[in-house]
Amino acid sequence: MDFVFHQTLDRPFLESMYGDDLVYAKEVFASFLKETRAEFEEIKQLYGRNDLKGMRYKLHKIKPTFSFVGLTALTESTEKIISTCDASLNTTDIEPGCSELFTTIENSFLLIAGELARMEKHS
Amino acid sequence: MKLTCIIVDDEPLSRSFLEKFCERSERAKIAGSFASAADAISFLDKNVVEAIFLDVEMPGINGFQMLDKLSYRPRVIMTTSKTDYAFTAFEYNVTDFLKKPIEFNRFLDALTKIEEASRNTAIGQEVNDIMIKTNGSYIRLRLDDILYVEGMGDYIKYVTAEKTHITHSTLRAAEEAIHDGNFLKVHRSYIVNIKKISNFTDNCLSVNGNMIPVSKSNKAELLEKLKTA
Repeated sequence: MDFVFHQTLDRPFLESMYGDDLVYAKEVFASFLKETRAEFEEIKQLYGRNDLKGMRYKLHKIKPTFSFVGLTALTESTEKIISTCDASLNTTDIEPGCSELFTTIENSFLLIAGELARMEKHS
Repeated sequence: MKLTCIIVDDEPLSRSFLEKFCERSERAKIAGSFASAADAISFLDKNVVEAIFLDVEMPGINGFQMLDKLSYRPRVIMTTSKTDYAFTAFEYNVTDFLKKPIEFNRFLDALTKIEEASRNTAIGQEVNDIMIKTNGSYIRLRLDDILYVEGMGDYIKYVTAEKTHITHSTLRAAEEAIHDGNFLKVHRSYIVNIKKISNFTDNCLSVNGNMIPVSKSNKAELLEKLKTA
């Protein structure tokens, strides 16, 4: 695959995941934008309802999907918030880390959408 | 020969990756991919697979609870993003434990472990017993002790000289799980241990005093087997 991913993404990991298969990479990036974005909207609602248990479960589910699109560091920071959730009673206990994580996730969707557009253009 | 497996994970991207990895490896054939443990259990009640790629945390029935509900136990590769489950996985005697996100080379290692485990069993012909689930617990049955297996719709009876064990499964699943040259399907509802046959007439045989029908279509194979038994 002569396509070069954005420098902020985990290029070695993406290379090991997709090899030469740009078609599959596009499929996963598109699926990430659809599925993980929908899950993230639910997570924000759970946060708004102070449902830490539900939020923790959903974060746990989407955590590995960040790595699938090269956002390895985001997987790690999500893990940290999950650990904080385990020891907290309400959302104020997980701030400011949680809001920062949410912002990073929002920005990551923009980055991945941009990468998907570049891949579409490349092929 | 490719390994027959299923994938059980409620997260679509994780399922997609495992499906793709199976395809890329050219060593695993996916018999089914399920978003819930309940769907996978229904499938496994009627089909036999060699391996399960199984997530732990799922809504409803989790991965370990699913293993408790199976009528037979394929080899299991746990796939989860939490290492906290490693000890429980060990207790369930899983073949491997893959932490998400799973890298392709690590996935190949897991496949190798399953293949080696299967090969070792095949080479040594050590499938001398099977595990079946009955009355909420797993029990080990020595193949030599089984007289015959009778299918009864969604249930099957394993009959030994001492006891009859009823389990939620199908005759087809039992046939594949037993996988022993001494057993033969003689009728659509019966698999018989041919070493235990005491008497055989035109369309019926006797095992430890139990009369078992023999289908016309199975008769020739049975006669052939009896010659060499």
